[in-house]
Amino acid sequence: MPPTLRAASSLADAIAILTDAPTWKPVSGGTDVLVQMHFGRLHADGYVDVWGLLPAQIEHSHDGIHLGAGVTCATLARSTLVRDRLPALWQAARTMGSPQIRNRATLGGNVGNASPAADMVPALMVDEAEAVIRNASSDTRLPLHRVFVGPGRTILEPGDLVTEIFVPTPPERSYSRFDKLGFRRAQVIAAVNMSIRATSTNGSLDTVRVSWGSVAPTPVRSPAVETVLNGAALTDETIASALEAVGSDIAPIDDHRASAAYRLAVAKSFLRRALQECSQWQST
Amino acid sequence: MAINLTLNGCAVSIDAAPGARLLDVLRGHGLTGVKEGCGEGECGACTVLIDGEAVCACLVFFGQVAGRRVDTIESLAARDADPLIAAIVAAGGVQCGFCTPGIVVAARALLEETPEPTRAQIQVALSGNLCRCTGYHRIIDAIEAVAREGSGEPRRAP
Repeated sequence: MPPTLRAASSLADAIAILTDAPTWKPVSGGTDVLVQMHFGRLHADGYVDVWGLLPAQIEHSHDGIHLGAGVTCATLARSTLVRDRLPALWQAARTMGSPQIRNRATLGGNVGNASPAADMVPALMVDEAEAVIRNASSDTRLPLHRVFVGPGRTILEPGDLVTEIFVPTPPERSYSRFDKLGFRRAQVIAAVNMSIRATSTNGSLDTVRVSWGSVAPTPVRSPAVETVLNGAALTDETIASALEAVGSDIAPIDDHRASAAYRLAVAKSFLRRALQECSQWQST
Repeated sequence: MAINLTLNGCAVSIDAAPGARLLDVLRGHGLTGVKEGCGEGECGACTVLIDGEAVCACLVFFGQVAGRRVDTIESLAARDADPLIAAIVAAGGVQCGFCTPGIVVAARALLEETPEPTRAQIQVALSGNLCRCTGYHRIIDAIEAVAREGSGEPRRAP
């Protein structure tokens, strides 16, 4: 028997249905929901279709960039604004899954699914992104990292929907990069991913933000690494200290994708490569 | 529950559960060119076009295509057959053939958006379609040949 799928007439209608039926789940592009259903891992009494109801615009306003939760990876990958101002997110979106998946997978879904291996979430975390969460009574804005409590688990209550990701206007001149370890260039779930954003003045780093995916129960920022790098000059010694600090920021496990030790080694390698590239960027 | 959509160019009303997979409803409707390989969006054998975009029919609920335009390999293989089909056959890009419908649909979506793709763009466009027989080279050769001939549009019957 196929599950029950209900259409909603509006976002408010969808939220009302989900509020009244706490054992139901929203579905948008379906690229996670139908996979989990296929393997019998998702148990909901029904689904409410929110595809086409969630905001799907990308807007640059005076305070920052507003990304509708219904924006697909394909739309992010086509956006010159995202390419130019949010390059880590752009790289994460355009390498996610395959064309077929990118045409359906939404930003809101990547957040709501709460995979520790999400690609777009850590790419947004280096830009202090916030999630706008709507329920029947209000809109709440929350730092993105606070949405996640564990693998597949969020603070979202029944009737809560992520409707937008807000990113404060990123610095004009900055270094940013996204890296992902997978065993193909497409259709892979990251064994490690890393995002970085750095600004620099007169050869010293000002603010550096680093985040990781697939190396902890949720996507994480890298406070120990950031402490080493903030305000520092990118010498060989600084890079060595930053690499040393990676181990205290992540908690990788052994699973079918990679061993914990390999994940740590790759994480350090990603960071070293990024910092070396950042050092070259500083001198341009 | 009947759902209205435009299927392969015709307005249709299909009585099926909105929570069924689009893949199952299409196959049940006789469109068996839409293949189920993996059922998890990995292999692309069930690729169809929704409003002109390539998607995996195994990852879409039937109810989600209400009011939308869905095109399957059957529409590309109809009387005014897409030149991609003959080109892939001619290039030796078909062995077992199971992946071929999905590949033709994915390649058509590419050529609609990018009529003159580079080889790298073709590879990316096919990165969601697994073929375990051919090794892809001949398929990519065929798509390049069709693009070179400027067949951004499927050839119309005289």
